[in-house]
Amino acid sequence: MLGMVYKVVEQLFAKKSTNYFPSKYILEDTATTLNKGAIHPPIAVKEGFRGRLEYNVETCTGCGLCSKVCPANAIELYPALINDKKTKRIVIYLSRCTYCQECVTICPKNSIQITSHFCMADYNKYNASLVVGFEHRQKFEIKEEGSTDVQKEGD
Amino acid sequence: MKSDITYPLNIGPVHPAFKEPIKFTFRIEGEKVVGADIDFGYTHRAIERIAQERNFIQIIYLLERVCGICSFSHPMAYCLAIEDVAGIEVPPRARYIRTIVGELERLHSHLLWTGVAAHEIGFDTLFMYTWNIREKVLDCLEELTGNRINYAMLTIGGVRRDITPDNAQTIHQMLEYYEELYNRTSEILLDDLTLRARTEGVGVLTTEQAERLCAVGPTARGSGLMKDVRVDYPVNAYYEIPWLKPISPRDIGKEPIGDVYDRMAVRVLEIQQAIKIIQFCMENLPQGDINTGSGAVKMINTLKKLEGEGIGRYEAPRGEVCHYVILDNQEHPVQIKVKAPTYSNGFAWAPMLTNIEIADIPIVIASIDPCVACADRMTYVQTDGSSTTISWEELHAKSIQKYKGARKRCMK
Repeated sequence: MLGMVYKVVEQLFAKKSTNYFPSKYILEDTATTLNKGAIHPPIAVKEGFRGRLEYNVETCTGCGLCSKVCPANAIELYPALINDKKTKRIVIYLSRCTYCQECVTICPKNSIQITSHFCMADYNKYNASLVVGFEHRQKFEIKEEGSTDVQKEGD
Repeated sequence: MKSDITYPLNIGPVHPAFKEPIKFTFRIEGEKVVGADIDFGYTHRAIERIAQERNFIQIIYLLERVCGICSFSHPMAYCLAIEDVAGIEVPPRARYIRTIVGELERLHSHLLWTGVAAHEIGFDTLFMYTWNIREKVLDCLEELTGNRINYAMLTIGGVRRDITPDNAQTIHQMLEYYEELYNRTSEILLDDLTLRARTEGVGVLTTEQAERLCAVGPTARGSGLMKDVRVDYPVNAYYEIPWLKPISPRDIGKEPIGDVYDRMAVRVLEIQQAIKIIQFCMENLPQGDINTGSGAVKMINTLKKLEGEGIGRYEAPRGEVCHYVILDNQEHPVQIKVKAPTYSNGFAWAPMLTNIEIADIPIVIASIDPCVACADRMTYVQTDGSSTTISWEELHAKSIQKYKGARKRCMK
């Protein structure tokens, strides 16, 4: 009986033996950790895998073709001020993305690229890790009077 | 002692025996089912309505999500319908790639069904065996298209990805794997005594009933009807395959009576047929373009100028899928109608579910490979927010009125 109480108290203060899943909690040297635990290491993905999208804000011209063909309406255009010129840029909400690659195919400047990165889980779908182009938006967006922040509103 | 009192037995709408919400009301006498009433409408998603607010390219990805398993067949029928209106010629290589992906989908769908059927009769070892060997075709699809389930492979006028020599090697390895395993698998599925005891003479749908209730796909072929859209109205590369014919249980020397065993035999034989079709297509794969070369926006702008109506028919793993579209100078079809295979096969449940035992209900219901969400139709919400269902006569009058309006707009 007393032994059990001792065990419970020990469990309360023990360090957790598992890692939190979202990628920001993964230890830096993941491979070493996995080898230590003698778990099968993750296998490499095949060529042509549809993973996380990458966005190049420099080459983008703000034509908006990608948001026109996106089947999930995951791409949002916002007014931006770049080099003292009024133009448009995009953000991609990965929580809505269906990874169909239409935007990659249609982009005339190849500003959107698909990568093989797949570890994207997070607690909040509007976090910077799940919105491609989040930091550029904060830098370049022209804030209008009375406009609300869409990212905070939710669906 | 024979009981002459009939009890009702409600199963559903949400029940662990079914994969999707559907309600059955059985009339039972002791252990025997003497009648069944089916109630649809618990998982209606208004896909046809949503499609009216998206453009031609976006709809392809919406229609992939009509059914999780037939995620190639639905956009395929839609693309055929649009190509029918616009008169778009699909390049030969694209037609062959479409056929290959379609048959890979059929392979994985039938392996999935055999697993589900084994699970419904309590044979979980077989369920794990078939789902284990199904992983190989899913891996192959993932390498070929980039996704395991919703392939995003089709576009209007062709396909989006080519088969590279590396992919071809993967397909050949997969085909060898299944050819080695086919004899063992078909032996388990067709000769095993446990399976035969649970499936033979259960859930009979006679040829006349199948013909009268317009059954499609393996359900119709299991009852001895020789109908297959791939043979009757060939599209893609099917009309170039000389030996293609509808599968029937006669191929294993058994006269079809339309029970669960016959439907299973048809599916098992179709696995072999799919392997052969993929082999044929890989051997005769022509060189050339994989689509018409016009991008998505150019395609939308071309279709925007068109008027007319088109129809696309394709043999999905569960039966015939049929899409009907009306175009009217807009960025989206003004009307799109989806007829999924379960919509036809659902009526066949009524004769199948009479004179069986209660324990056979799950396997008989699963035997047509139902996809309830595809077939859901009847949900009517009034504008003030109160929900109500309407009678058949009202629905008929309303649909005539609606289609007359759409036609008038189209013919103008």
